[in-house]
Amino acid sequence: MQIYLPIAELSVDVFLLLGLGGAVGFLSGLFGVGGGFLITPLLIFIGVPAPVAVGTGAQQVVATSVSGVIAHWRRGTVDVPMGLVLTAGGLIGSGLGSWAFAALRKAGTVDVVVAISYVIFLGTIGSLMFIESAGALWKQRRGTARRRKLHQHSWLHGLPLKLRFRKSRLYISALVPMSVGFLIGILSAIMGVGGGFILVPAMIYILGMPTQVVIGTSLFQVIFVTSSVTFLQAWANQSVDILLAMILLVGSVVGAQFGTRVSVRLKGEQLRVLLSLLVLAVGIRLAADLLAAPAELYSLSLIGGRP
Amino acid sequence: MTRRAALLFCALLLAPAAARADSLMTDLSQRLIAITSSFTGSSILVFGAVVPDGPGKRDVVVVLRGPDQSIRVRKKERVFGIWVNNEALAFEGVPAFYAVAATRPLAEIDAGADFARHQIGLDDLKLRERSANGAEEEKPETPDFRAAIRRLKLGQGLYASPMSPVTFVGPNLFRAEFQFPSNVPVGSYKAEIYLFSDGDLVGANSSALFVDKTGLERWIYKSAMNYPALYGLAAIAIAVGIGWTAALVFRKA
Repeated sequence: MQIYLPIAELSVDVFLLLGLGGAVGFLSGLFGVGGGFLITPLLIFIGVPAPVAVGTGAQQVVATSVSGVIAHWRRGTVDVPMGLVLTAGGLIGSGLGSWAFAALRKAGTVDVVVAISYVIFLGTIGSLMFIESAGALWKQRRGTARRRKLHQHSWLHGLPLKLRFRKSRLYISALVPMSVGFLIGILSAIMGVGGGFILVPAMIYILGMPTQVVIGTSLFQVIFVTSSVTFLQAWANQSVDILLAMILLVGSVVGAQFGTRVSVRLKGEQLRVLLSLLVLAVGIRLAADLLAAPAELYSLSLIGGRP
Repeated sequence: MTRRAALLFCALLLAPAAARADSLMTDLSQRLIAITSSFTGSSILVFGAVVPDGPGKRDVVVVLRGPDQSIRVRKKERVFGIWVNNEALAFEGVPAFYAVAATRPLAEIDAGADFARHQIGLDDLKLRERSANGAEEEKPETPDFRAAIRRLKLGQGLYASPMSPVTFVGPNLFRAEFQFPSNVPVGSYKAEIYLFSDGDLVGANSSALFVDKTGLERWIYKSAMNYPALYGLAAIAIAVGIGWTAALVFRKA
């Protein structure tokens, strides 16, 4: 069944969109990533113009995250103070990132910087996570796992403004999650994604939060970041297609619920192995795009906004 | 557009064969292409009658062109082993849609000067670069970029040359059918009908038509364009609402 999308200005199959939404929603509920780094390229692939794919992808992720956060909330796996501190840092960082993006665009190097930083980040995070989590799984299987300390003490714990994050079982300076949020905010503004796939590993490895709490808390933060992206895209570029988002949403909210169910049954290590494989796969795909000679060297875009 | 019309008028006055009083009458099957939610493309019929005055082989060429746009063309190049967008050029007045139909292949009609003057045929479509002082003429050093515009637009189904033939029904009546793909841009379009006699331009006509969204599609589009801030907030509200509803439904299930 074909439907015409008023902002994307093309006609697509409704069931294809429902399927896309469902698959991305499932991964989103499973890993606590917004799914923006999956849905945006998929929309572009089926012919949606890039700005519409970014804006609409963000709107879709808002809904998936809300649905996911509520499901996690009932299981008590959302650390609200932690989420708020991360969000505060993230908003400041994305403001600075947008400014950096504009400066890079002026210098004409934005494409190279974005492409390379994407591949480096995905590759590094994916490999590190895979090595760590696969190692942990292996040790468990052999039964040689020693009980890990809840966390290691380091200079990070000497910083002022200490707060107790009960759900995360952490007593650390608010400056640490604030800086993590800030750095990811910069990156997500430059790379044009919500940052969930960087945030989740950062919360696990830098902050030392338990994996189960990480997912709910990450989704909580993603709601705010993607809401601001949705608003800015609609306001500045008129590139949010509500009809497209609503069809994707019907698929993705259902998918997110299933993803969340599966996620509470899996062990933290198993989730981390799967997420690391997903991150690596996206990284390899992007690297291949950069290295392989493209079939079409030229691309067209409208100047001065959409008609 | 008025300049083009004036040029066309002058051309007709100056055309040597204008002394012959062929008459040309044309019309379109529709003046409005309405885009609804089930729109998957549409077709339009351009038809008319020619009453020849004197001997000679008559040819009809129909050009259907869409709203002019400013577009940027980017070219990927290999920098340190990585393929990235490098060079970019801006073009002015590029038609969003361009299709030609003719009774014979354009090369056989053999009216090169008239084709160039009226931009009849994809090869004669002028693609002008944007510069500091408005649009410029075609630069000789950038043919690759212009070829890329034609190739990419052909690939999107928005350019076609010649798309379909103009067929004569009996001695005087002719018809040509054009297909609009589902990604046809909205705006005002123009059908230009040219009559040639042995390669000389002897008559021309033009009709306007509009492609516009209707119903829900139009309402969403207009809201997004006219009230962008409100639209953005509504988009967030809808997303939160649907996400919340889904979570509630699934708890009960």
